[in-house]
Amino acid sequence: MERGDPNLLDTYKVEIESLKQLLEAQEQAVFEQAALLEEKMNELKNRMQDLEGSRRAMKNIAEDLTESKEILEYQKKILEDVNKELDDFTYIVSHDLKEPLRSIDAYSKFIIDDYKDKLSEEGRHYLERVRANTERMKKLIEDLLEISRLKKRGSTIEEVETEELITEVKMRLEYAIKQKGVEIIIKDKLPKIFCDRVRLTEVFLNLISNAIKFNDKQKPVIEIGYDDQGDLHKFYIKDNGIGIKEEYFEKIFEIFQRLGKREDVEGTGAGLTIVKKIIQIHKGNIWVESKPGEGSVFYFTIPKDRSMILGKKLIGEILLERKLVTEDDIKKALEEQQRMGRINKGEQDGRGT
Amino acid sequence: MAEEHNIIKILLVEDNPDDIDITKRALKEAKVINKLWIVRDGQEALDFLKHEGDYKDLSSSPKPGLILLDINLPKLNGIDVLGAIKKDSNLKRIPVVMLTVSKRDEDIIKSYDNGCNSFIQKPVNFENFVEVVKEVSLYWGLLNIFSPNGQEE
Repeated sequence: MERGDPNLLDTYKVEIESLKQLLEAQEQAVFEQAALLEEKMNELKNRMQDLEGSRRAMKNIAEDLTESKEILEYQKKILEDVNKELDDFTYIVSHDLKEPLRSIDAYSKFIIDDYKDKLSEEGRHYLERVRANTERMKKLIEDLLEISRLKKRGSTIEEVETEELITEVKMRLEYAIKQKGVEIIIKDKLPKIFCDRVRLTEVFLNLISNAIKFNDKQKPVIEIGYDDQGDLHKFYIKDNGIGIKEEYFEKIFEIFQRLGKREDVEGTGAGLTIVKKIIQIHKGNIWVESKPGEGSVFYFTIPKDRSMILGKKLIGEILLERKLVTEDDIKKALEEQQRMGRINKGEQDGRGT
Repeated sequence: MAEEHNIIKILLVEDNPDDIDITKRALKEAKVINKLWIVRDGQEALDFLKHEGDYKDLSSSPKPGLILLDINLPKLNGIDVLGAIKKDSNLKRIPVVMLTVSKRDEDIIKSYDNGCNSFIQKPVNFENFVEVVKEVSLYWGLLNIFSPNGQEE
């Protein structure tokens, strides 16, 4: 009979055995998968904790930043107020100082004229000295006024050919240039720049006239050069004059600092202060390099971008322009900021109840 | 020697006695033939021009051909006086020259906005001031042609 076929039974046995093994293997696989899953779950949990940590850190940084920004803005406001007060003070004081000066000058003149016969040569000389000093004081006051006015008045920023400014300055200094036999070399092609035309002319005028004034050489040579520095224009004015000691590199930009003896050099010593203020108004920088006896080089920079000079452009716009960030980055950052704002708000509300 | 119409009638509005001295002397040295009236504050200036207060007597306050007006004045400041003059139909054609030691942007703008004819800064140096007084008086007193009824009294 087929039923009692022992071979068939063996076959089943084998088959069952292999099925059992398969099952065990699958069980093992499921088990391993479960373990893996748990591992992954743990990993995920850790990552979520990390993320939460980062989020908190970000929040803290954002809060810190907001706080620093507020402090900075507050300090900026105080500084601006103090500056304004100082400017107003300078302005008012200088006007009030001028009035008595007029009287001193006029009455000295009246004595010189009306008492001509009674005055000795010496007496007359003394009165002339009084007048010379009122004249000098008037100049000092006017320079003070000029400096305080620089900030009070707004700037007109327009596109200007630098070459035109130099031509204008050369015209104004024509007499001194001819008299001292000064050679002015324009070394590089000078660019078109955005600036306040009148004020930047003042900068070149001051620097070039200083280069002529403080020059003891037989043949004074002044070199005007330019270097394109990416976002900045960099100019220099180099002379072969008397030069400046290193210890005075900063001091010369302070008001009424004169390194020469009063009799040697005309002027009040406010020129470079005015120059520096003008450059600062343009958001640029000015400095000097020099060797006594060999000459000085005055460097100054001015941003190329009109909005940067006007201080209207935000840092984000500049980053965007230079492709350091994309619109998406900014959008994401803004969204994140908003989201965090909501979370903060939610947390605070939660705490409140 | 000078004919009546060549004499410039000047009203000086000035509170500082030194400045009055100096302006008088400058007019003299500039050889400007003039008749000078002096008032010491803003209110007095308007009284003079409108024949009010101490100036009800017309002979004491003739209509000037030129007003030299300081800005820093007691009671009413120069800009307010200027505004009042330029709003008054009887006075508005009298040339007003702001003569001041100030060169504040604000003062300059307000002066022109209120209709001043000229804004001049008083120089510190006396000789320069003489030049200014001479030129101002000659220009406004002789050279400038006025509106036909502006100079009528």
